[in-house]
Amino acid sequence: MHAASAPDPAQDPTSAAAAKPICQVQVEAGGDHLARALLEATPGTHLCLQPGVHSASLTISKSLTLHGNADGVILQGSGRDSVLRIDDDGVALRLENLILQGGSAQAGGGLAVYGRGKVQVVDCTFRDNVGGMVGGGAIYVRAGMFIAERCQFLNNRGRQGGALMFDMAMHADVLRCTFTGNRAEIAGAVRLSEAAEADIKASKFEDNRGDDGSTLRLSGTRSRVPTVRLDHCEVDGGTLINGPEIQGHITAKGCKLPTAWKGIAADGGGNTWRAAKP
Amino acid sequence: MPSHDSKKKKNHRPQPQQPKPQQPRPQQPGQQQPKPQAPAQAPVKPRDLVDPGVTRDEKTKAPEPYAYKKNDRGAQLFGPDGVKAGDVRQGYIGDCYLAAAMASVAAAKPDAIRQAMKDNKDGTFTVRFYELDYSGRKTVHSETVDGDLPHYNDMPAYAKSTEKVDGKEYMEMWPSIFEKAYAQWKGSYEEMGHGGISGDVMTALTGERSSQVSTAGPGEADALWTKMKAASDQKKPMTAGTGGEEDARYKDPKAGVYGWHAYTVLGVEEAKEGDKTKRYVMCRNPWAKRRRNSDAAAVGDTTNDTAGGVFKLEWAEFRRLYDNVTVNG
Repeated sequence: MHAASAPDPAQDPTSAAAAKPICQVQVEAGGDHLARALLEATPGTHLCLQPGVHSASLTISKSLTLHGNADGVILQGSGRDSVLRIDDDGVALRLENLILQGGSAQAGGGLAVYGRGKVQVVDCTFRDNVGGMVGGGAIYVRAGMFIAERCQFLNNRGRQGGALMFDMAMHADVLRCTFTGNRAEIAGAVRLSEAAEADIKASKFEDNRGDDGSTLRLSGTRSRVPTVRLDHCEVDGGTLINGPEIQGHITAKGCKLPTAWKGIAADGGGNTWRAAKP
Repeated sequence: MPSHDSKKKKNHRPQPQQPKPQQPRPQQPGQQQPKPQAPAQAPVKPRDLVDPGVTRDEKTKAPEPYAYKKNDRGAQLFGPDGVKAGDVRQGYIGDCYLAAAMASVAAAKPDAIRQAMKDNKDGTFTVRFYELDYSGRKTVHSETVDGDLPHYNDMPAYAKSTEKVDGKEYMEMWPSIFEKAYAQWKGSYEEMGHGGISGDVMTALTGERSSQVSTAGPGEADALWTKMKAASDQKKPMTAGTGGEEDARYKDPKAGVYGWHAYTVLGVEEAKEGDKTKRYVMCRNPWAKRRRNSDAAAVGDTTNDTAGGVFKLEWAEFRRLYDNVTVNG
């Protein structure tokens, strides 16, 4: 069932070389309009979603762009699966200006990416999603390339990684995102494991807590370890846990971090340390 | 219980009906026997092995709820009746995903388990794992562990297998040893005891990639059945996962299926009933019993302790109760 792993550049909406997107299909809110539109869309289609609530819990199996035509375009999960999920390799998906909410899945209540492809979420909000058995309340990614830009992660819950869980072998770029009020057993905001790699830049973490006290946690295995680089990020509290058994690599530069993080994250320079908010 | 897998906190105990130890059991002096010495040519000496639970204890000073007990019963890696799904029983840790996956491979490809595990005859065992890299290429990793296991009530606290063959009780070590080696690979029992993806464990055993599909997709019921029927016919390992434990679907003891839990799918079958063909899915709860004892009593399930956790669901009921299916290979 798995297609080639690399998205076809001509149909890759996340490619800089792609033609400037124009709405090719308008999707009305409500009913099963979105499900039908996804079924009928050809790879590379740019779908524009009209304001309102769109029923989701849908599997994306071709390269597409989903664009919210206005603020407040909601993709509503059914509570029985991720709001959106990608199982196949070779899928390039771009989400713009959407709210993904109400998803509940073992991993990635808002968005679960199992296939090796390229996923880009821009100006999106992920709120009130649950990844209850594994983690990544908002998003779980385990393969390929993932990019989040100017996104908000609000009040999501995951077993590991209240907002994000990056697992296995993948790379993530997280840019100018905010994480607020996310909860988990382990790592209130972000969890990295296995060989996951993430660059998190200019992002802000407020009131994200794991039951283990951590906001961010990474741990590896005896065959591979994760890497995370924080660049000009702000964290208001919570702990950073690296390992404890098998540690990954974490560096921070130009960040404002809780004092407790000092010595755990390698100092890349320009960091300031401050007392954590109670 | 957490539900099964959803052990919430640090003392991963999947089956609430079991008493909870009040405090760590002290290691008895008689149990402090020297570990067997490896032959000179052995690449790893038992005393050099990383023992996951001990590592946790040493590093964090956190109380480890169970004492390790030496494998002094003469237990064997594989029992006299071969590798089978019924060998696997999940213990007090949130790794239903691992137990369900082990049982699924045991049912569909028992040789994969035999080939992955080796008794080094020096008190240690080596387990070979497969994993996929960034490009999806298969790589191999091995771990060697000894047979000492965390115990509670004189039984292994985590995955275990006990059964009677010809009236004699055997303990097959393979589920416990595989779990211990997996824990060592991932860092500790604690590290792997907070849920996981059963497809990864099946991949670790078979080297084949796993794919997960939702059971709830619109108009996809027939496609899912076709996929599962083909997997069943081709002896591909399968598991199924449930949704949130707070969901009403999992509050009904009659349903006998629990939330945030992984199950083994032993196969599917079609049966002629009158002029209709009915579809069924054979499932197995890795607790080795379908229901919690209290639920079994409530619904008068008299087979709960004898059916080994195996039960059959009609297709529509399976799709109602399970949110995803994972097929390996």
